[in-house]
Amino acid sequence: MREAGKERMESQLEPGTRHDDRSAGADEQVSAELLAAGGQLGRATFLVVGLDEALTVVSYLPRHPSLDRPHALGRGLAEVFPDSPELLQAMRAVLQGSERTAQVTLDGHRFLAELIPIHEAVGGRVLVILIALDVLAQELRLQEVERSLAFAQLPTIVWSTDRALRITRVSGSLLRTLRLSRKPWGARVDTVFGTQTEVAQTMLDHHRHALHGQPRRFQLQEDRRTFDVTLEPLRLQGEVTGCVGCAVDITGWLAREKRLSDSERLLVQAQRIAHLGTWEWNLREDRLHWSAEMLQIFGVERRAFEGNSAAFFARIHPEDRGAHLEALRRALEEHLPYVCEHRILRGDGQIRRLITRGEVEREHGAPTRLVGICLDVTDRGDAAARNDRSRSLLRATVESTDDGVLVVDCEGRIALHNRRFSEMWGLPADDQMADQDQRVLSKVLPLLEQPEEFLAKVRTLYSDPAAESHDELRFKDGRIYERFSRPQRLGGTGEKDGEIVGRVWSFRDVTDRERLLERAVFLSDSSRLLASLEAEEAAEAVGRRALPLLGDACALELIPEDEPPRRLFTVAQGSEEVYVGDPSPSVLAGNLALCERDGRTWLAVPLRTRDTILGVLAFRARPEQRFGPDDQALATELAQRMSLSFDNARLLRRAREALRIRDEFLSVAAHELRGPATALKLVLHGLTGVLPDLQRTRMLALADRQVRHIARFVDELLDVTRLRGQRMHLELEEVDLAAVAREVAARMEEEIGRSGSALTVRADQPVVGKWDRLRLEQLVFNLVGNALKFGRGGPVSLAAWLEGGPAGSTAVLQVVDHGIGIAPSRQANIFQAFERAVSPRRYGGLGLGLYICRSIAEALGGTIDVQSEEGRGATFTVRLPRKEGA
Amino acid sequence: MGGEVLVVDDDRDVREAIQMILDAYGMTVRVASDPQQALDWLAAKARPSVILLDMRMPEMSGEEFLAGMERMGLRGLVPVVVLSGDTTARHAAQAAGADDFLAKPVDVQVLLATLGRFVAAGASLTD
Repeated sequence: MREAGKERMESQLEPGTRHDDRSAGADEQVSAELLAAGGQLGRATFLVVGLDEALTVVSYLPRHPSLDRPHALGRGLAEVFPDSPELLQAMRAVLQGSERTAQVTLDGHRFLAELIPIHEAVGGRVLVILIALDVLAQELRLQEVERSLAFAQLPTIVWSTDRALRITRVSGSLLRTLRLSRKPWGARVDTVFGTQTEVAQTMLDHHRHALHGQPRRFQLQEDRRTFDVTLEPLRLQGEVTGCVGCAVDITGWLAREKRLSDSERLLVQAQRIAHLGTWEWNLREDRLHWSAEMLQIFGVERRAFEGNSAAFFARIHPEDRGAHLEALRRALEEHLPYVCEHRILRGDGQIRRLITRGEVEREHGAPTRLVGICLDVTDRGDAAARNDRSRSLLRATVESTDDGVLVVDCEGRIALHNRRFSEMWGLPADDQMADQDQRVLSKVLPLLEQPEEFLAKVRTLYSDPAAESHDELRFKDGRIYERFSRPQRLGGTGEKDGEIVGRVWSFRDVTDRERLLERAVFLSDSSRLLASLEAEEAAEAVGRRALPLLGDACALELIPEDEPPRRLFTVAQGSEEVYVGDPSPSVLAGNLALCERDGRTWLAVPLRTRDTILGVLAFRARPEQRFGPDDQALATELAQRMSLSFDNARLLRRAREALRIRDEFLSVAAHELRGPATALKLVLHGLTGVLPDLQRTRMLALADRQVRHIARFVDELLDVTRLRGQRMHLELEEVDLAAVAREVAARMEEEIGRSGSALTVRADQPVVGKWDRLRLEQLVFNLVGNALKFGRGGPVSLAAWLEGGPAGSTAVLQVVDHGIGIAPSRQANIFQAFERAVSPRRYGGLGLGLYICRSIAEALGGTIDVQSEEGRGATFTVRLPRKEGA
Repeated sequence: MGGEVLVVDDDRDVREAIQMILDAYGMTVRVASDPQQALDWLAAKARPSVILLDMRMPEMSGEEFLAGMERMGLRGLVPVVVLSGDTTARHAAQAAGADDFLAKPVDVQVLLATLGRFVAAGASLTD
């Protein structure tokens, strides 16, 4: 059978005619397909050649563009591969019945070839299938290829069929893999290949196509392995006599490819993250290739990198160069790992610490290439210390703040808290207490005014890990805490938040601040009220505003200057009757006092000015309230401001009054001068000749009176100017007051006459003392003049005597009229400068007479007083000591 | 010049000086030291040509006097010229019904002219 087959094949393999059947177009198409397939298979470049016993090429299946030889069919092997004498040698050995490998060089490419003899089952011919692997293309994996592609294990299977697609010859290492343990000769391809119908059918279809002259290339999945299958029509004398097939198990290769691409991707990523650079150093050409990350580590632009080993060594720190070269030498010569830690000098002056690690690739024992990595470990040495530092910094920071800080992880465990936190919440100082937030909560809740609200907030925040909050907690005992809460995040950048790993709570005791604020706002409001309203109205508004800050009731008792005390207001929060009572003596003495009224505590503060107590401000404590130093300070401050307001009001009243008096005085003074001026003007006109001589005498007397009137007026003014603020100058001598009274009365005869009043003088006994004569005269004149002026023409009496008889020590001067009298409310004022008991619209005079009288009396150590009723006259009494003044 | 002038002023010297001057110019002058006295005369049908009135007087002020005249229905019948030392009283005087206002110290020519004007007007009315 074998022999017959051989013969037939021999006749079919007639040289010269074989390749004519194949059109050039078909060749090109095949080439294109194979090229594409070669691309698919990447680095696995194959050449499959079928030879007959005469070493004529009967089948040519190139998978490398450079191996495309359209005219190879029908030619002798030596002709097709002229540069491969070892191939011919090897072929001969194959034809002698042994399978073997050979290294062949085709067009400068080195191939490893497997020569597989296929004995034609029918014709008895021997076909040799040469499968060659382009080892140059596989240069990078040379060692791997050398290791894995021991040809005994080359994962291929080669077969041939006849026209009926029965297997005529099969060979290769895949027989077992494909479970072709039995010799499948004579069996049809679809019964041999594939354990599944699908696979068998696919094989059959492709073989049929091949029988029609179409070479096939496809991948086949079988038993979780992938095969790259090539089918070629087998021609004898231009006629297709069957197929030659070749299947290569590419499962491992595909997996490697995938792993490679995965790991390459990972590698790039890892390099970027780890500051890991990779490099390749071609020793033969001294070409050094650096990855982008390498350039980054060294701070070199790709353009500026020289691309040789000198460029690398030049950048190594001079002190580390020796050690580095030694490591390299040992790696190259002693086959030790190439590992070295060294520093580099960057162009920008930075020094970095790197670990360089590499592997030496060798060819025939000689190093050809180094590939490796550089890892930037500059910062790594500090990481642990930095971690410690940041921990201690955190601790120190957390402990140094006045805020209570609590950090709870996502499971409710307390990750961190400071001493201030325990302190603020009254938790035991040891850490055991605060290990669970629930236990902390149970301690905390009873302290709060609104525990439900507090809990609700905690729940809300735990259910929304990203939420932040800021609120205020009020304690039953009046404390106020600010509560801040925000998530604790790990990592994260400016743009992206980090992962939430817990929640940070911080608490700030703002009790004092809030109280201060509340009080400051209150005081400020009070000042505004006091400034904007009338003093009394303002005081009541402030009293209301002070509740409940200072108590639940407030009262103000005013103590006016000339009137009895009166309660200005009593205000209370509730509607109940408030019993205030009278101010305590202590308060009236100007002190702050705490007192009990009707079982309630009151805080009373005086409203005081520099010299007087204007009133008493009092606050009643709420039932649970105790007046502390703060309350006392606030009440005192408030009282001060109120005092100021009242005092200001008083001063304002006085200032207005002073202004009114001044204006009135000026008006009166002008009026007083216009009267005599009128008379004098008329007199002067009369003296120009208008009047008869008789009347001139009257006119001159009139003028004389008016001039004296003006002179007295000026004296009064001068006196007052002198008297204001200083003691009167006195010329003391022995003077008889009774005589002075009589003399003045006599001098005033004319005034008395014009007033219509009758003056009675009772000054018969001498009243001698040491006084100022002129001042006594002025005193008598003023008092009598006053009596005449306001006496409404009624009788006026003037008397002088010694109190207690001739030996008495006090002289008395008394003037009594029966005129208009003085209202009691005005009596105290009439002795003041510019004061008058009557309207200036009716009575002239500067209002200085009685003031001057008082000044004289007092300067002489005496007194002056008045008894009067409105409409019933007045009695002025001057008492003077006989000896020199008091 | 003629005409009767009633002078109401509590200042005796002023009254006296005015009386002498007006006399010298041929006017008949009656004086009253307080307004009530003047009102009594008017009530007794006295009808001076013009009244020269001071404003500030102890018992009754010039305003009160004018009010009294008003009550007696004499407003417009007897003209009143106020002569006041209070220059600010002009408005009050006019408001109270005075027909003219002269400030003390008054110029004699002005006084004569003013009074003469009212005397002449009164004469033409009665003519």
